[in-house]
Amino acid sequence: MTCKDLQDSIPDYLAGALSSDELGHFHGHLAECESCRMELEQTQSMWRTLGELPDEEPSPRLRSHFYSLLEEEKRRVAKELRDPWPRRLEAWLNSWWPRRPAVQMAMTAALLIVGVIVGRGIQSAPETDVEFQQLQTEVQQMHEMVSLSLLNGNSSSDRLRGVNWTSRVDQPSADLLESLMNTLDSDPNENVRMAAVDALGRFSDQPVVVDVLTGSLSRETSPMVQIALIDLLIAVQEKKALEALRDFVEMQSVVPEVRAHAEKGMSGTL
Amino acid sequence: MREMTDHQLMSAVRDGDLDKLGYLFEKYHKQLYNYFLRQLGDPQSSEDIVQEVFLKMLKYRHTYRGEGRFTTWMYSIAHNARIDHFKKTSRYVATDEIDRLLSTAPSPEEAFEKSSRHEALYKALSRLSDDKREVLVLSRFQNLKYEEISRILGCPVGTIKARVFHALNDLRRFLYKSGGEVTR
Repeated sequence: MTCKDLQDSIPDYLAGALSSDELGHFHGHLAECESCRMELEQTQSMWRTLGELPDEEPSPRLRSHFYSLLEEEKRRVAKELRDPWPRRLEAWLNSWWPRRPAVQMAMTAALLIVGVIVGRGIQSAPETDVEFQQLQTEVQQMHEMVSLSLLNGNSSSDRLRGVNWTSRVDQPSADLLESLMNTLDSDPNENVRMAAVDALGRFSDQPVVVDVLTGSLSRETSPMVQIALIDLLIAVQEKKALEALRDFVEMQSVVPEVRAHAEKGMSGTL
Repeated sequence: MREMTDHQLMSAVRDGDLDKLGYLFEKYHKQLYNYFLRQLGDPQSSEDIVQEVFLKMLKYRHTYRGEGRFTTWMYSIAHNARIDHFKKTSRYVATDEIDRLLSTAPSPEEAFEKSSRHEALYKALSRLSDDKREVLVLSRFQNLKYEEISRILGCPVGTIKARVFHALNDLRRFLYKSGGEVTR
């Protein structure tokens, strides 16, 4: 045993964790080495001195607080056992309910209108077609409001939900389209941009949308979103779209896999 | 009633028999209190964190799996509670708190010398780094094996032993430097 080995074994020696074999080597080295004897003596004396510190008693307050805490938890559990479903329902509703007050209001209004429509549908045919149409329009407007509010959210998960909400809108307003196009162009999160490509694909019959898609293709840096854009532009089969793709494959910065994908698409083999 | 093991008690708590936590409280609250007291030097905060540890045991009872010893699980919770506490407050162990703590000790003349030795020890402990102080408290005062401490703190056993050794050396240095001749 070297001095280093002995030093390493001191904590085990103090804790009484050395085997009898190890203890034999330990004592053997000590018998021969004075500096290790001194080292051990000092460390052991510190270890013993620490043992003099008595355990302190906590105040009675600790016990009384603990038992009132325990009682409180028991009451809560008993209540839950009697009535477990409201909690589950609450948790489920919470997972659906949006955080932002504006979205909450819009959603409430949307649900109300949906309720009215369903109610009328159950009663009989709507009183007049005009009234029914009006209600449908209002539902669409509410969907738009929810989408817009979420699209302007701070968190990427809100914005992603906003993009997904647009699938409930049949005829997007100029505002909603612009917001979606802005999302595609400038959202920092590539999953949100990716979803925006899909959402805009539904409105690709509008010339302004194709313009934005072609513009984005030249600016987009994420290969994943680039491929989504290429697929969409090929599906659109517009002259402008194909020109943009041709320019795109010429760009130096395009990674080879994405370029190959675009070329395949243009040659009609995709 | 045949005496239940810690593991059986905590498993019962997990399965809904919350009263069994009372047994664990009676067995361990003083140990936990001293674990915090020797690290924070503040009786009030130490009691608050013990309370927090039992609250966490209650709240996260469903996560108790009974793999390994109950005390490993309990001290892991305690260790995290101690870290959270340090994040929220200053690490400084107030000297007047230590004085107040020691002034409550019995004070016949014979005890006087002892009490000033304890005071010096508390002060020296407060000067150790958090890491060293914690392993020393766990091994010397809580009597945990180095293997168990290594599981609680998530570091290799060798590191734990080295910290114990260095902590003892640091303590000795602090005590001699401050003139408190406590080691004999």
